[in-house]
Amino acid sequence: MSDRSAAGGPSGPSDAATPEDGQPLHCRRLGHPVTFQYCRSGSGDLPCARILDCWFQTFDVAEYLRSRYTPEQIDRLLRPPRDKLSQILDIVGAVRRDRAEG
Amino acid sequence: MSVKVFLSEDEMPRQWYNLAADLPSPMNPPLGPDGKPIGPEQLAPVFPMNLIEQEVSTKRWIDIPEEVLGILYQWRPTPLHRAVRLEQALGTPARIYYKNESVSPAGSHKPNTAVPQAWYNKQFGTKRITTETGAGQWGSALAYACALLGLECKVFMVRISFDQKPFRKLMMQTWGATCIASPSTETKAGRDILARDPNTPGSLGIAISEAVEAAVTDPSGKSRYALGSVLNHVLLHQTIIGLEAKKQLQKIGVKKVDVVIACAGGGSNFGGIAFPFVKDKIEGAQIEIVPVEPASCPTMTKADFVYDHGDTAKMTPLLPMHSLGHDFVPPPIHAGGLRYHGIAPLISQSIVEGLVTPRAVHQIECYESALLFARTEGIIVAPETAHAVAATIQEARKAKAEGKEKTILFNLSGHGIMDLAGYDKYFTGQLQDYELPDAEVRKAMSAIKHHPKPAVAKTGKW
Repeated sequence: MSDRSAAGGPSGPSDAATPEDGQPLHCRRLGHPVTFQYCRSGSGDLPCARILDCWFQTFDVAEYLRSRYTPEQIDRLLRPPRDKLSQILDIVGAVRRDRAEG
Repeated sequence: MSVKVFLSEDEMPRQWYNLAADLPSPMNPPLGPDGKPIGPEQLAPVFPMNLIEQEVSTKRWIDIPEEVLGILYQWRPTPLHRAVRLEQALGTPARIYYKNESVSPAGSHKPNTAVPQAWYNKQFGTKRITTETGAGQWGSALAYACALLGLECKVFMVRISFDQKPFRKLMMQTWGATCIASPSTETKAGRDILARDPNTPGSLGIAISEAVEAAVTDPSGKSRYALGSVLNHVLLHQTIIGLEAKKQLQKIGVKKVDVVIACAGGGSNFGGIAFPFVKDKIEGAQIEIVPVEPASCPTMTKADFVYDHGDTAKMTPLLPMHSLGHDFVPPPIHAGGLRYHGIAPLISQSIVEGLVTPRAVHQIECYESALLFARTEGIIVAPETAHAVAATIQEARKAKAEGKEKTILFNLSGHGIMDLAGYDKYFTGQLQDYELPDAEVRKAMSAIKHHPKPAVAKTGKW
């Protein structure tokens, strides 16, 4: 990846349609089928963090990511998430900061 | 031949089992934003103190309150079935047993923790519990529990699930919960997302943010948050499954279980049936204990347990995790990890110790197994449960090949009556399988071979 990251960023907008958009897969987090379009929509500027985990067997999703996202975005995407309790405390911290600023 | 083993209510276990008391090596603690281990007081805005105490407890046995037992009696003890017809169909000498957790009012094992969580919250003075849900298994279980205990329940349901799963939403409403499509306008987190994208289908991350915000911003201070998996107290409550199974097997003279199997997502149903048997294994018993995951996310089975970086700037403490690597390796390899997998830390540590042996199963095999199960034993299992059925059938076939009368126990964690869309996709040929080539895995592993490994996380006994 470090070699490819030196080669440059995405070649297209991250929200543009793809041929795989309609393909279904059982979402382990939600517990029901979803399409690739849902997985790539994610939240914020990144797709679902499991997009590679779930789709790498179906098509070249890694290449899809390289074509749509910068190396920094991909690094953020693949970054291991914090454990559940830490995530919850991060949310509490963000809520308190918003209220203090509010 | 009797195909079901019952326990009376009087015979039901009176205590939960806490694996944290017996794990031979210490668990690596979660760290707060300040880099220090998280303390109970930090969790107090989110969880009631009585559940926080369970979360950090190292007591081996924790009493189940009588009032909680009284509610669990509505469907517990759950039957232990002998899968006679499945055995016959497979022609196997193995004896296959399963705990049927689908008989709960919500259709799965989830109420085993929803009920105690609601009870402990009520004891604490909580008036309202918030949570998030995807397809609705957890949300409906919590709604049911809150109805019985007279608590308000607010469930933030991911928008795409809210639209796809109207029946789960209706279940929650029937049990008196308020089920809101997330993102919503009820929280700042939701409003911010909607301002950027009014048509967003939502995500669990957003729904969790909304549920936590709704709990901690309640001016009355009487709202708390609950979740259905991953955390220690959740797995503690679920051990009622395995504890009952042990009693039921003893009742019919089964002295030894050879294999214990359950699907593993967040880990609650696996931990529930397995942890009492992990205890036996720690004490010297020969048992194979198998958490089963989809082959599309083989992080438990193909990943090494390494320290990995928590952020690109490498500023946060290294996180112990199962990982295929932080670096992005050419396709189709990825940098998934148990943190992505989201599995409970207690299970992660059990894997590190070698106490449990993860297995991955492809989705086509899962559905084929689920169909065989439905056509022999009658129960249409949830898609996640189908992974356990598939691994069970693998073991039964292996026993046949070896000519061994193995005793196999698996957890039927839920029925699939509300999840037939997945079966539809199987019947219409929309599902695919692909095996990650070992060469690609080795290439990915080479990318992380220099990553530091946790120093004291393993005794090396298993």
